[in-house]
Amino acid sequence: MIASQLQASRARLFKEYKEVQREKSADPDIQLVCDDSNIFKWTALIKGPSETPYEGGVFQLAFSVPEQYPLQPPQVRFLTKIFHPNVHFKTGEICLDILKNAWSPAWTLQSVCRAIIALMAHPEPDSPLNCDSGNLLRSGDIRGFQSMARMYTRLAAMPKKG
Amino acid sequence: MSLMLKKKVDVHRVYALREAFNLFYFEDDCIEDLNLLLIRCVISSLYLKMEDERQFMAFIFGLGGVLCKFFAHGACLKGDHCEFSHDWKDPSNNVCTFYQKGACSYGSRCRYEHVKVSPLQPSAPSSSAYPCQYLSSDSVRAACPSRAEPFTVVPVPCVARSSSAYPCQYLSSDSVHAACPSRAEPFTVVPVPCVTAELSASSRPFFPPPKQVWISKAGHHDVLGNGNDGESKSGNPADLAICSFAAAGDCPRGEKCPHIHGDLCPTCGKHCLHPFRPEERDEHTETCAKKQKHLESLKHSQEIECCVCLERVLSKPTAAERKFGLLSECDHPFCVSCIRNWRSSSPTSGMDVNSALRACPICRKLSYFVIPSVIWYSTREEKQEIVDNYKAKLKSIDCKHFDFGNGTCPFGTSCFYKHAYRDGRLEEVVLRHIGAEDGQTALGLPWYFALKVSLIVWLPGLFQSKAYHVFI
Repeated sequence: MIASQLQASRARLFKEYKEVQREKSADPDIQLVCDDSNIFKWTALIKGPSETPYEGGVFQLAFSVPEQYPLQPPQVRFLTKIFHPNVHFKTGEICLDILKNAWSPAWTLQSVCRAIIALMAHPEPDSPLNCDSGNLLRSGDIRGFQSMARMYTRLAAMPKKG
Repeated sequence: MSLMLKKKVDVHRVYALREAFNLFYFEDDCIEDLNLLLIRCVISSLYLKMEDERQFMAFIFGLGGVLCKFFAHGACLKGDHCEFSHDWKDPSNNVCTFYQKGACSYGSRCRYEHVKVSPLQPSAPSSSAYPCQYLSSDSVRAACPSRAEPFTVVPVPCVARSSSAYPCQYLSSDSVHAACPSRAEPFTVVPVPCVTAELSASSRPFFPPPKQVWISKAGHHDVLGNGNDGESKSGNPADLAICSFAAAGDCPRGEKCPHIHGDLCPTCGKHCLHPFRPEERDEHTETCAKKQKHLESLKHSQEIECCVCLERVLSKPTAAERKFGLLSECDHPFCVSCIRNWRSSSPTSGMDVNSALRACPICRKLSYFVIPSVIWYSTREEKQEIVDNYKAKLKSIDCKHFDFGNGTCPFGTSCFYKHAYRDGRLEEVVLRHIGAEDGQTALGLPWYFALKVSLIVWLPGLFQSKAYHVFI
């Protein structure tokens, strides 16, 4: 059972890999790369959505795919520092329902990336992993939140000038 | 059957044994011993190693004069050692025994003749009809070279049935044992002082109402007794078999083929419609059209991908995986293994049973069961048909939880499987009545519904019942 499950998840990831290779240019905001030696480790570079404080930044995500994939969701975390109410500031852990109890095997790594971009555009301050950011939003200090997020984006997610 | 376990059994021998059982009527004690003898002969391959024995066996079952089915269809692996005749002139026994028992899965495509067991329609010549015919033939003496007196085989069909007319003196167990004292004479037959003469004259009136296959064949034996092999071939054209090569697509013999070639079926493009059997034609046309429809939907199903493994369902490596799992409430395609795996993945992983596991992975619509199917449907009616067929199939299987009344099925009355007791009685639906506090009677539910609610959370996949939805 375990061996066949491993086989199945490997096959599925391979399919996704081929799909990513085929549609490399389909979504310019997402660049999904598989680890050279381990198909269960992926990294992704996503562009911050426009009209958000994350615009212009490139954020790196690390995927760790369980052997039970796609029956269990991949573990995703931000490698790039980001100031966002649903992302843990230190570990980069993401609080997103589809990565936890609302996971469905129909999701792919690509679609998870899209979901994360959507989460960046629409933060959910009521279930914060980053309390400071959540409190700013909940207290209505949109400007404060945006400037903090913008600052961290410049510091961590943009190429340093000069 | 121990026979199957001990020896490497070839088709012919099993066939012969089965015929033997048909020949001898079980309930008669005297015949029981003869039966044993026969079984011993048949199951021991030693007996068949030597030419004499083979001939004897062929003789006793009346096989020698019957055309080998395998030979007739092009290839008999036994070659010269076959118990059956490899002579085209001999009558063939081309009767499908499965059909006579009620179920031939080949239907109209069967290469054997589908002859009903009925006295009105004498069946095609069968081996069991022959023993008497060969009594005087040389093969008898050849089979029993050491004996001077000509042997007869028990004229089985008649004697066995009409024991009142033929008191079983000829078949008493003593004589059987005496006849077979040692290995030296293994193939001795009960020396029945020529019963056949009487038989041919008086056998008819003794036939009881036909109940067994051989009865009708026995009726035929008078005709065959005239010794005209050709006669059986040239009777009613409806009795003739059509060429199985032509029916399968192409007959190498072409015009010279001794069998009649069937008419062309417009659907499958094969010469498989029997020109003289209208019922069979209709049956074939009907099944052929159905098959064609099935093929088309199969073709259409080829392209469909499973959303879990992202592969084409019908291109999976093993046959067991090449099945769709239909969800009762929505129309998204999955492999049956993928969707069942997903639905049965443990709820401890943080996922909610109802909102995630049992929901469609794509549209999140809650479905209570998964229906396996080899084809993908294109209309609502087709889906309903698949679901109905599946449920009907499960309903014919005994529920292992219910265990004929010994166990308790957690799914109760909404179980898809059959809840029947050993005597065939179906379980009654019991609704318990509870005296409500205000003095009125309230309708309660059997206690296992409570159990069901707790169990059903654990039992995933297929076995989910709609009752869950109702009672929560």
